[in-house]
Amino acid sequence: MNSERRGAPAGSAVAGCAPLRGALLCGLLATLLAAGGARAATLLAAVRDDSGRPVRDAVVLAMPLDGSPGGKPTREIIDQIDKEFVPYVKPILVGSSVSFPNRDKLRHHVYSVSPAKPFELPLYAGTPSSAVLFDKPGVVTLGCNIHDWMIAYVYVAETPHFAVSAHDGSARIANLPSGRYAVRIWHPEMTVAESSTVQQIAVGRDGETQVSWTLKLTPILRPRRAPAAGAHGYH
Amino acid sequence: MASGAARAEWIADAGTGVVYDSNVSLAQSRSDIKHDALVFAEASGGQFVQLTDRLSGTLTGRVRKELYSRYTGLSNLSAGLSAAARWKFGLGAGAPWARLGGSATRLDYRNNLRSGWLYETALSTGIRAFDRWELDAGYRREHRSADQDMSLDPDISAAVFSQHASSEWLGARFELTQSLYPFVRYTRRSGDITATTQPNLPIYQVSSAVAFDPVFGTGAIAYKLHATTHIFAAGLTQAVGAHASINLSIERRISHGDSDINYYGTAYEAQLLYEF
Repeated sequence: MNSERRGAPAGSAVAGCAPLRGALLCGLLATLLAAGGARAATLLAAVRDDSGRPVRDAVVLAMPLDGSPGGKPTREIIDQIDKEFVPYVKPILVGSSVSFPNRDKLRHHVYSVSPAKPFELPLYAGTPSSAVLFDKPGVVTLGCNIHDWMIAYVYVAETPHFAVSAHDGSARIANLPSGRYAVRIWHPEMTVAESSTVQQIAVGRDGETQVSWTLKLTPILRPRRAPAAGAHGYH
Repeated sequence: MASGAARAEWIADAGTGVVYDSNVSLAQSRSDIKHDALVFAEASGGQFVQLTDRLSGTLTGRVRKELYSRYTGLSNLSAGLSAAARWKFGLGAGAPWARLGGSATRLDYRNNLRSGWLYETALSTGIRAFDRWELDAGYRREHRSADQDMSLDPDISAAVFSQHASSEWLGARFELTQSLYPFVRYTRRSGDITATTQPNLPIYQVSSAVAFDPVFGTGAIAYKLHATTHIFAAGLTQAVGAHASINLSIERRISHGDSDINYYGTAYEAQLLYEF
């Protein structure tokens, strides 16, 4: 995994700090910025693989280094549409709950065996009457026990400051209070530990702070959906 | 509002491909061996229903058309119905499964000698293992009932295409990349086979049925005998998106019949599959 930091555009208060010089300088800047009153800035992240291609579905997180992350749990939705989970990656704040409406005209059987949240929604159509509470941080892998190729991830975060990278590899965390942050990234196909992606940055009262990562990815092995000669698939 | 009521799901697929077979006559001597190529198209559709968390059922109909290039009497249209139940022993993609299925298929050949019904039952099991492997094994029984019994001799049957056989197989598919899957399969089939030869007394004597077979020329004789056939297959599946795949395979057949009558053949197949 490589990471790099870009300079902030004109008007940005702080562009981010080099790791070795970071702590003291960032702390000083953040203190000065905070003294001017808490305002919100934007973190712009760019994620690419080691071939330079944009990486989508990466979760970018910003954890405040000073004070608590704050935020309130929310109620979220992960759909099942055309025998796929939508979205593929869903970050939520710890304590949030997720509903799993089934938009298909057939039944799904959603489950997780991940330590952060093992659960099962046995064979159902429509929308389950109760949502699933995710009360422990961590990555929860979802599956459907009927359609084995269906897979999705819930990233249960300890901070409300997160975003998912889009097709172009960009992610945007808006309304980020000024201060120092440990930013990191997670992706289902990432080959390195999430902790090794941490970068410390300081953001100002407004403007944009940019950060980027280069990730080495390994494809996830899972059952195919496409038909194969001589095989019955899930039938 | 969640519902646990069973809901049937329409399933359908279609495929087309070409096959080259080095020994369509299933002959022993070089002069009797005939090779040919065929194109085929097939489609199936039906209903899949997940009955419980673990048990599902399938009812499908299938049609297939085969057109041979040289030996046009082999061209055929088949249509059949199949039913299957599948049980999954646990939660997740790695849980083993077992499948019990049966089918009845009508076979209509341009050469009527081969026309009839094919009935099959199969019990199979499989598992996804070691992250990248899909393994399966199974047992199949087949019974083919020919329409015609035009006897050459009152003492010997002419129902050469009425056959009984059973097969066991082992298969493995490897996930080389997210879309490319090499596979291998070994099948051992034991039972009746039907081959073609020019009039040949020793073969006539070990056959359980004999009939003229005009598909391979005037005077050609089709005969039935018991044989054990070893089928070694290998191939590649290339997924094309989520609903389609290209499949290439090679199959080597080695048959050991009664009285040391042996047959060898190789088939090459390219197939495009689409699942709706």
